[in-house]
Amino acid sequence: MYITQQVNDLFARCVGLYPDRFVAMATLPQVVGVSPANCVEELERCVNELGFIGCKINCDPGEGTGDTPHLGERWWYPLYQRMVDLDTPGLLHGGHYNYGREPELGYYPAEVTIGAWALLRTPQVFRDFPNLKIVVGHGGGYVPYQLGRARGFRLNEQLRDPDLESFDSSLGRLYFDTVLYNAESVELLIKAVGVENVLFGTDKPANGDTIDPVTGHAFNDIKWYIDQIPWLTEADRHKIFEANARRVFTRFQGRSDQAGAPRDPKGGRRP
Amino acid sequence: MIIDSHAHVTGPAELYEYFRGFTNVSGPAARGFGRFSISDERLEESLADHLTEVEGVGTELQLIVARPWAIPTAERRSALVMGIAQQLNDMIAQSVRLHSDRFVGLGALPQCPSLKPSDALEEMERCVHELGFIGFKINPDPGEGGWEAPGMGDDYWYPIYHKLVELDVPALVHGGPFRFSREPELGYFCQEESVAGWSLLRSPQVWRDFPNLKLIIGHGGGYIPYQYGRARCFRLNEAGRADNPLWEPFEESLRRLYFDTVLFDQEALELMFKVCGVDRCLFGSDRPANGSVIDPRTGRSLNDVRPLIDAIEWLSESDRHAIYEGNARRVYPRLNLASDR
Repeated sequence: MYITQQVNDLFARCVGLYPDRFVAMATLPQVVGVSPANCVEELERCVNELGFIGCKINCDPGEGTGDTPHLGERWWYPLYQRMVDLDTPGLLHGGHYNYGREPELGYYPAEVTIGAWALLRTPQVFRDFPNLKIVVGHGGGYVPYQLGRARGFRLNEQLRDPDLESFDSSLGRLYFDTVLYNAESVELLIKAVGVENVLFGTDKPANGDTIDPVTGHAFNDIKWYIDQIPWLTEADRHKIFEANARRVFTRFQGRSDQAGAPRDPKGGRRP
Repeated sequence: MIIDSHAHVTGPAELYEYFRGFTNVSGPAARGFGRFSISDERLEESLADHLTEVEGVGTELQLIVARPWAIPTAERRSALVMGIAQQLNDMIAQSVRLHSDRFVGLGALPQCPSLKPSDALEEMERCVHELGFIGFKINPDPGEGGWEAPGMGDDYWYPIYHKLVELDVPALVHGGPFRFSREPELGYFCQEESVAGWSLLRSPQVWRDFPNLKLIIGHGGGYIPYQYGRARCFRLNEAGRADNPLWEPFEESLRRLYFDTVLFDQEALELMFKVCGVDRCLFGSDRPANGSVIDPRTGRSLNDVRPLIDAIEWLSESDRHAIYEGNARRVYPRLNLASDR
C-alpha cells in the first residue's frame, strides 16, 4: 500500500509538471490473496485528490500461481463498484511474472486475455455493472485472433441457454488498446472489435522503441500502422486517436480545463 | 484433394466409461485393468455421425488422433496412463482400418507427470511400425497447469524429438486436459500451444540439434501470429545478440514451425497466412467438435473452414493447393505410404 501510494504520488507530480502533456491513471495496491476491496480507498484518493482518470488492473496478482479468482468472479466486485461510482475505466495489464514457463513476451498477452475471456463468458458482471468500463491492453492479448473459437463456445452455450446474449454483444462491452507492433495485427484488431471500441495506445517509451529494420519505424510507432489502413475514414481515425478515449475516460474531458470539473454522471457508455 | 490435418475421433462412450472406472479411484475398484475390446460394428456406429459431418464439407482425408481430453494426464499411475494411451491408439488404428480411404492415424503420446519423454518411445515405435501412423500429438503441458513441464525448448523433450526425426514423422502440438479455474478450454489450448511455440522459437539450440524436427502448432498457432510484432521486437532487443552465434531474427525462427488452420474466422486466417507464410500452414478443421455448431450469420458450421480460405482473394490456386494438400504431403512424408489416395 505504501509503495503504491508513493508511485501514485510520483505520477501526480509528473502531471503537475506537464499538465498539458500527461494525465494519470491509478496504480492499485494489489496483493496476492487479498480482496480488491483493499484498492478502493487508494482509487478514491487518486481520483478525488490527485485528479486521476482511470486505473490499471493487474488481473493476475498471483503471478501465475493460479491463486487469483478470474475477473468474472464476485471477488472483484468491490473494485468494480467503486470504478463505476467514480466512472473510472480500468486498463487490464499484466504485472510481475514469476511464471517459469513463459516470460514477459507471452505472459502479458496471455494474462490480459485470461482476464478478458473471463469477463466475456460471465455476462452477469455487466448485468450487475452495466457502466463498468474495461480496456484490454496489448491489443486485447489474443482475443481478436481467436474470435471464431470464442463465438463457437458461445453458440454452444446458447443451445443450452437461448437467453444468453451473442458473443459479439459481449465483445462490444469491452474496449481494446492498439499496443500491437505490426500493421497486420492492428488492422485485424480494428476489424474484429470495431472502430468504436478501439483506443489508441503505444506503450511508448518502452522496449517497442526499437527501430524495425524492415519499416524504418519504431515498433511502437503505432500511429504509422493505423495511418496506412486504407479503409479507415477520417472520422474513424479521429475516433481511434481521440474521440473514443474522451468518451471512455469521461474525467479526461473535465481535466483539460481543470481537475475535478463537472462531468456527465451517466458516464461514457456507447449509445 | 482436401486433407484435414487436425481431427479427433472419439469412439464409443463405453470405452471412456471403462477407463474412468480405473482412473482417480483406488483400492479394489482400481484392480483388474485390462483390454476393452470394441467390435467393428460398435465402432462403425460411433463413427457414423463423424463421417457424415466430414463428407458434408467435402473433406477427403483426415488425419485422426484421440481426443485431447482422452489421456488422463492428472492420473499418477503411469502403467494405467500407458495402457489407456495404447488402447486409444488401437481404437484410432481400428477406425483407420475400417475407413482407410477416409482416415490416416496419428498417435497420442502416453503423457503424465510420472511418465518421462523416454517412456513414450516404445509406443511411438509401435504406432508407426505396427499401426501405420504417420505422426503424433504432443501435449506440451501434461502437468495440467500444476506441475510445470519444462518448456518445449528444453532438452527434457529431446528423447521424443530424436524419435520423431528418426521415424521421420511430425507432431501436432495440442493442449490436453485442463484443470484451471481461471481459464477453461476456450483459452487454455491456445495459451499452452503458444507457450510451447514461444519456447521453441527462442531456443535455437533445438533446431541446431534437430534440423529436421517438424512441429505443428495447433489452433492457428494459438496467439503467436497475432503477437508477431511484439515477438520480432523482443528478439531484436535481446541483450548480447551480437555475441550469440545462434541468434537469428524472429521471422527466421518462425519459419521453423508449422501451423494449422483451426481458426474459425477469415480475418485471423489471413493474418496467419501473411505472417507465417502459406507454405507453413496446413489445412485443419477440428471437425467434428464444438466448432461444428452452426453460425447463424453464415448458416454454416464454424469449423467449415474451407469457405473461409476460398474467400481470401489474394491466395493463388497454387497457394490453396499447398494449404489443402501439398503442405500436408510434404510435412507428413509417411502420408503417401499410409494412404492409397
